[in-house]
Amino acid sequence: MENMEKVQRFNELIQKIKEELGKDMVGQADIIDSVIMAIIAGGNVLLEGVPGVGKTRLVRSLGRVLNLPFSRIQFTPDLMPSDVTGTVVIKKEANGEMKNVFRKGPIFANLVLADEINRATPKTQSSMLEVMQEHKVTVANQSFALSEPFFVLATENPIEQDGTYPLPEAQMDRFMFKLIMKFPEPQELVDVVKMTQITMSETAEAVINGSDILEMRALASTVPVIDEILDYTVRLVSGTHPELEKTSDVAKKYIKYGASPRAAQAFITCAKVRALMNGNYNVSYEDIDALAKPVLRHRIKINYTAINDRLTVDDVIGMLVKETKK
Amino acid sequence: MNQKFLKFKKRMQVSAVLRAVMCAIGVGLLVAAVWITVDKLNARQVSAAWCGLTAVLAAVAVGVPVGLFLRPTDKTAAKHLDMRLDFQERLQTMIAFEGETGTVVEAQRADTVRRLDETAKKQLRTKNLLPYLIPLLIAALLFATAFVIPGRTPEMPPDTGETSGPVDVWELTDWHITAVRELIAYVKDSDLEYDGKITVVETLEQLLVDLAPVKTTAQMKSVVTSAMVKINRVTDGINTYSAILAAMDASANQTVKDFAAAIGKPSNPIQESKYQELKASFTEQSSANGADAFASALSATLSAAGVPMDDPLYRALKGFSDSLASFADTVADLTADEATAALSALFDTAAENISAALMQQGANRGVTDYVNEKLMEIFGILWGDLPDELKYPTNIEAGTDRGDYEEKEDETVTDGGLGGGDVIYGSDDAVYDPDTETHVRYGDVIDDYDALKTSELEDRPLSDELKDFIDQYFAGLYYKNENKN
Repeated sequence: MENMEKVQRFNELIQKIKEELGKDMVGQADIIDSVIMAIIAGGNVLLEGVPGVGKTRLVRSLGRVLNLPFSRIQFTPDLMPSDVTGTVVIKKEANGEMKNVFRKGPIFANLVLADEINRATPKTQSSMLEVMQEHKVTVANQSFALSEPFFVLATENPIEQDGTYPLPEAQMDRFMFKLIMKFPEPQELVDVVKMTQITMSETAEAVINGSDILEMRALASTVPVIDEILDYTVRLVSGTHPELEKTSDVAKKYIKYGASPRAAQAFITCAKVRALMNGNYNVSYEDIDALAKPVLRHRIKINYTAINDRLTVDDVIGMLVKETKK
Repeated sequence: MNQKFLKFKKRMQVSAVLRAVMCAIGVGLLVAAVWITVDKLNARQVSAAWCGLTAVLAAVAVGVPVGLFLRPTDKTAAKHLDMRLDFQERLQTMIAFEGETGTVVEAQRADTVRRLDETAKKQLRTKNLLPYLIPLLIAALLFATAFVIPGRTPEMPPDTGETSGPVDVWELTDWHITAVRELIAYVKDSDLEYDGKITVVETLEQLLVDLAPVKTTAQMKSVVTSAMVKINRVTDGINTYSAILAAMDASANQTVKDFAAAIGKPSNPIQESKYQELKASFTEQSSANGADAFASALSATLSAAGVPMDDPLYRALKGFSDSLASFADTVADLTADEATAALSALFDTAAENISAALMQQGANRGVTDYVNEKLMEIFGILWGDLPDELKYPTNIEAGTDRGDYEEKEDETVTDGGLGGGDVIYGSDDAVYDPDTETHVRYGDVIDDYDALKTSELEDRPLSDELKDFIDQYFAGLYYKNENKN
């Protein structure tokens, strides 16, 4: 029964996180679930949404609930890489000696909000690459590890495309999910307004800490996955590549280029977390299908035929899931 | 392993066997139905043994692979049950990670077992067999239908309104062989000259060899008439009468021409009155010049005839000519009475020799004509079947039946069919009548055969189609003219 207790504790913690976040966030349940899933899975999230839907508030509240240091980086065109990672400064000691000291940048936190990441220059964007992938910063030939768990939630503003720098595929691939925060429903908006009339500050309290997250991550990694589901996942990802011989009809018709192998890794890692979050102890086809859009929408590019047929990338992913046999 | 799962798997195994058996039976019935139907449509006798064996083999060939394919493993049983119970791959995961340890794996196993135990028994039923039962019933229905459908009867020959009659089939029988061999024996014993005899006998023996592979009447007639032409040409080759007569008729000497008329023909040698007249004119004159002139002219004519010098007729006439020439040389030494007596003796001797030679040639023609007539009789050759060479012979020995030929009219087959013409017979072949132990003409006995056919058809339990078929066959052999009587 000890095993069952561990799993039950997992679910209890998830429930607590959701409850606390619910104090600061109205609606967006799917987004919250996905963000929690990504944090436990050890991935990063790209969040797309119009201003004012609660992207920053979400990350702030998450920081409070998870009791993890949080930082926010507002990306602007003049932001330099050293503004993100930190820089070496010369400091005068008490004895008058001049010493080089590394001053850490805002990236040195457990939860980082990279706001409007597509406004920064590619050089600054690439400074995030190493951080997101390896969880360390290298400055002046010195590497500084970031403390775990480390999570980046980047946002993109879909409205203002002028003066923005689209994220390169290499960086896009580093995000486990791309989530789309929609404009709240009318009733949700009413609740938001009521809530923020009382206080604009976050009121969520800490319920877990970083080590709990790491334990949950370790537990989730042991969730069993049968070979048939692994095969299905691989076929799903392979089916996004039109150049392959045994690819899907959807890819041949609508996709310009497909997802990288990281997509398959993201599928399985997150499916395990999702299974546990839903009270299940094994990954199912349903878990994979539910993760298809968040995992694939930023990793594939649809072609002009799809655009001409007025299909979105989510539509194409839906068709791909239907075509792939279980 | 969970007991419920094992029970379910066993149920799946039984279901798989049942489905395989149903497939096998269905296939077997279908194969049998097709076999029976095809045989019936092709008017063939249905072979129960072969049909059954094929159906069984087909059933086994389908049933065994289907059974093996449907046989459930733990994996397939788990997959099937996950789908049935919407277990979201719980059972499959439990089976795949059986024996492994770990917090989540063990929790998964326990959770799956709990859920399975909570599942009602009725939910664990195996697949409905109805999808397999319906095709089986259809196959059974087709099988039953195959027995019910009527078979096709053999096709009757189409009635085109023309005289169809029996098919042109012929073969050499023992009777034919015996008859020809009797003919060969006749030729060997005949008066036909030796060389001719050899040739005719060889021709008849070759005829039997040539007729052995013949299958149709038309072919037979062609072979026989060819032999008849050969036999006819044998006499043309050895009889010299026509050539000598033609030469004598062409001679400028009138006495030679008169002599030709006087010597007659092979069938009637030496025209007495003309011969005596000619003899008298010579003996009265007893002239050396006359005899010499006649002898020279006759000798020249014989040379011009181009016949072999050892030919009896040639020798008889040449001998006469030489004798006359000798007489002319010695007549001066003879008295009138002696001259008259000598001439008379010459003419008498010549008459004997010429007569004998002509009779021999007559005999030659007689034998070959007889042989050809017998061949026509044996093989049913009609005058109309003969080639022109035999119909209208060019070397006419005056006085023979062949000399005054007439175009004969055979009893030919006319058009018209039933009620449309004269009495016609499909064949003029001779058939052996066991009652009289002789060969009789087919047309003479067909009435009896027809009566026998009618009584047999009334008495025997034959199908209407078969009776019609037999009637049509006889109708082709035997037609009556409604106006005949």
